[in-house]
Amino acid sequence: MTPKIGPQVAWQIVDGEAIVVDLASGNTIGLNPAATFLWSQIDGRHDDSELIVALMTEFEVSPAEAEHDTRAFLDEMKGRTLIVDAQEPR
Amino acid sequence: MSSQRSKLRALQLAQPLTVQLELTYTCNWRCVFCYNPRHFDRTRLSGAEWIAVLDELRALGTLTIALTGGEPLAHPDFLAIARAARDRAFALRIFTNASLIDDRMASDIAALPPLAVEVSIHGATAAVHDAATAKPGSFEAALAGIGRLLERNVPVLMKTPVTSMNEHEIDGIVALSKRLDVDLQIDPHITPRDDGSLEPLQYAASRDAVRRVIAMGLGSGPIPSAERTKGGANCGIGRLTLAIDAEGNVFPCMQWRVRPIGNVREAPLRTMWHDSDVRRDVAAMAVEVNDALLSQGGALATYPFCPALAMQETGDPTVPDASFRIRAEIAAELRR
Repeated sequence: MTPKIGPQVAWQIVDGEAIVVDLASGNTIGLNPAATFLWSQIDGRHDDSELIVALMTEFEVSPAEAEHDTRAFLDEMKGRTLIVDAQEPR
Repeated sequence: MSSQRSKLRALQLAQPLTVQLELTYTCNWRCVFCYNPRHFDRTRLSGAEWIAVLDELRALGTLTIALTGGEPLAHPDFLAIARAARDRAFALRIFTNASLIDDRMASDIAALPPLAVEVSIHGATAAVHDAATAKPGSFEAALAGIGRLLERNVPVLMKTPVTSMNEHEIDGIVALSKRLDVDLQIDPHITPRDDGSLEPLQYAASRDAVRRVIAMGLGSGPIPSAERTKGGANCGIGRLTLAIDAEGNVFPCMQWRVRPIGNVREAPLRTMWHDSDVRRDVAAMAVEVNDALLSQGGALATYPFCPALAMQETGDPTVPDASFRIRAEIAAELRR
């Protein structure tokens, strides 16, 4: 998957943690620093494996942990339609 | 981090999460109680200048942008500015009278998409609404604009300040919002003009009407209340909020027009925000106001207070204005 921030999303960072607004529902969620780091890397060009490496490097965690956390994060964001797959036809 | 905690942290950091951009003073209506002192621009910011401001606001940490006026759609570059706001991931609110929203504009707005379009409606009937706007046909035009937005699933909030002109139509206004299936917010008061004139207050609603509106919970909750602790801030003025007028003057909130922080044409926004004595002074004033109300106790301490409006009416931001006193007393009575 090559994640891209969805079209119905607004966001900003407060003190190192992202606030993400789902414009469709009006709901707001807060991300922890690791999730905020991943969120900031999402640009529609880097795929999930690149995000795993970035997380591993930034937070000095094991490859397995980085993969688990990245995939869990991406699954949740995709489930909330806050991100989409840049490779999938719309 | 919860959004409430984020807001608290932003308050501590003086990060202006919420910003209002008055794109133009121009308006095609002439509401008799309008808070704007004029309906024309002297040296209006261009679309390119507003877009440069958006870049600065993104870097400053803003999350929500409200495009307002005047009538924001009267700015020739309205759409370019709105699109630029969304391109920069801002949550976008549009405060409009909806009368300029034709099918094409409704589709363009839907494509942004905004968090909400907030539409001013001043009565339940054309006679009352059009008398308030001094614009025959404005009621039908506004409803048509709302209809076009709703057809495209754009969230619409209907906003009505209760006045002596429409207070007999409160039930009708509620019924209208239900018929349209849109959220409704009735403001229990109107405000002085931004130039300090108290002229709009001659249209203030009766105490009974204000009581009805507060009791109906059509404002900011069942019955609005303020939670105060000593040393806390009364509101986000100088910390969480910022407003920029059509000519680039920057204020610490929409209502506080005593002195601008600066002008976006003269200095970078970040510099003026962080270095401004005006901003620091009003931020400190918000704490002073909070503690002053807390020390008074009772009804005045438990109702949301606007020091900017008090400043306009009493000349002192710590001295509650008559309109606030009435609303605070009514809310306290209703809570008993």
